[in-house]
Amino acid sequence: MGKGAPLLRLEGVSKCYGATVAVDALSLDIPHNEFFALLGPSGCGKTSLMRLIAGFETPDKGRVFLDGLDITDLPPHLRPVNMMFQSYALFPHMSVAKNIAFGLRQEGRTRKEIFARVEDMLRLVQLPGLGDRRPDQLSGGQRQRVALGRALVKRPKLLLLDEPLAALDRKLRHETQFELMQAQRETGTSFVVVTHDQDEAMVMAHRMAVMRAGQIVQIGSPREIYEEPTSRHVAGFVGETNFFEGRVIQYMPGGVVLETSKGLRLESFCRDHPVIGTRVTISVRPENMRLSAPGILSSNGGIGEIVDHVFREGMSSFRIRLETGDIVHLRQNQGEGVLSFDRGMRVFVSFAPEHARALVR
Amino acid sequence: MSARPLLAGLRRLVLAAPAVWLLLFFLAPLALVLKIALSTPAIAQPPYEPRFDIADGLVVLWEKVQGLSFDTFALVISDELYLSAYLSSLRLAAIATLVTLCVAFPLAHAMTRAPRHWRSALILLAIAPFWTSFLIRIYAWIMLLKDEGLINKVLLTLGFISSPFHIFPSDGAVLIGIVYSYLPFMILPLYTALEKQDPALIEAAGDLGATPLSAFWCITVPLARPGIFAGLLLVFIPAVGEFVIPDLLGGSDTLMIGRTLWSEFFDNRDWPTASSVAILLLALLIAPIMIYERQQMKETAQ
Repeated sequence: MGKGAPLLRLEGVSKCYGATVAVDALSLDIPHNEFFALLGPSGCGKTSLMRLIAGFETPDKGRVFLDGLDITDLPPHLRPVNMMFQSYALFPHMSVAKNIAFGLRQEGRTRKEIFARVEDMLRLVQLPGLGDRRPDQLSGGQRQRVALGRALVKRPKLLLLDEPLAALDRKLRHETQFELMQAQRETGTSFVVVTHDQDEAMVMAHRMAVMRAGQIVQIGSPREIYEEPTSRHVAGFVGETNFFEGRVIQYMPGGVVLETSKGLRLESFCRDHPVIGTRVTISVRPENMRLSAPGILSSNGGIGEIVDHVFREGMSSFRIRLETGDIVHLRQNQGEGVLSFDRGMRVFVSFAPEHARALVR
Repeated sequence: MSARPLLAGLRRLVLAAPAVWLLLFFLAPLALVLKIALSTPAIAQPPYEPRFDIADGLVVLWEKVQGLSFDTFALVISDELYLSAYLSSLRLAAIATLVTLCVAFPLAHAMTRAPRHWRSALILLAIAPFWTSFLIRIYAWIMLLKDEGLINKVLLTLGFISSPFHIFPSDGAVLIGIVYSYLPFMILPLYTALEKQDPALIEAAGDLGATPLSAFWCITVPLARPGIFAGLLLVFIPAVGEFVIPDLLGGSDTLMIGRTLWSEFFDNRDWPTASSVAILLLALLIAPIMIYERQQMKETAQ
């Protein structure tokens, strides 16, 4: 394959454990120099997929290509792919420098080269001078960076990261996200991050795939997936959202009108063309919901009562119980005229049809 | 208010218990053996002199103490027979210990890799031989190893050999007996050390380019070191002083210190010499324990 070919190509890869299908006829291309995230709940097959790429498992069906070469049957130690383990898997009996040097020693590099590259790597992961420490003398964040350095020092074509931030506390996780993005930019290596945390994927990835039951249900940029989910599952898994279920009763330009079982008439944008009577779900993000005093506006929404009002990170979050019994989440910037609303008030909650997505699946 | 001193007293009592135990059942017998070693043989009951008696006055007691001597130690050290018995015991025990390690390591390793619900059953199997008398199991080896024994019969019948191979009685049979008998003492500490290892470490080594063999040498073995040391000591120390196995499986030329000690004690009725042989053996075996302790100290210091 010539230039422009993907770095990694999976072709119809399947893996079963007994009766459980972990990865189901999955195909995927990952280009050079990309930060890619595999997102899904535990048990969706994302870890199995990563272990297939690393070579710890061999697929029952399908092929794995790296840079055009079929690596399906190569054992892990012969693959130019490295992995950062969720537990970090640092060698407890070796110093930080020896841990990082381990991969280079296996390649039979000279002592001088190993020393220089380990020093460079310690600088890149911001651990200069800590080469003589043992892993158990480091903090969680430092151990995470040793694991990253150990995997990157071999200059792999592809770096796999298994839940790289799961063991860190919230604040450190936030900083480390940006460090990982920087490491990816500086090395030009493609990163594949496996995570169950949609925030992580949204922040770091150029592209992400949402997995479910061994298959990729949607793939795209974080923004595409957030704004244009193709299924109810993706809309609910990535970001917060409000769902309204109902049957299509009418068409409108670019969308549909539906009626919920409680009698609300709602208009929504729709990519598909469901026939009249089809059950669909409308997804509206909390920041796209609007509040107004009842009576002023009266279309595409419902009347309800504010049951909670929380102020967090510059945003006002409301929980509103509609007269139909549905609970609606709504988020607004401060200063958008929401300050006058508070708990216990009767309000009209609505949304613009172009901000809503009617989903058939 | 009064509960606190009471508790402190109780705690001291609990802490004193092991010390009292050691004093009564280890140091006191050791002192008796040492005293016999310093005595001279005599045709009497028991067969040594002098014998301390509470009825003796202090003066007599002092005379008797002056009668004690290190003659038997000098004899044991200078006599080539004892020296070669010590050396051949150490050699045989060392070889047997290394063979045991080589047999036990793959077994323990396989046990840690077995499905979790099998593991306790496998441990039980490893120590199952202890349910049968040690003596009976060693006798059983005679039945297996002798010229007209089961192993020779099978090999002869299958045509692998034309005449029975001769291994019983010999040093080789003793080696087999020691390896067989002490295998569980090696397997258990190795299993404990290996089971603690995170399997992800081996995967990480492979991921970083290590072949399975070099992952084994660079990761598995160094991390199992405490278990290896414990197993080596648990096998080596009793194997050096082993009496039953060389007595039953060894040839007339099999020289082991346990057997020498036995014949001094029962055949020659020379209790002082037997006692000094035992004391010297103890001194000899303290050395590896000290090395082990230092190793442990170094490990924890790191």
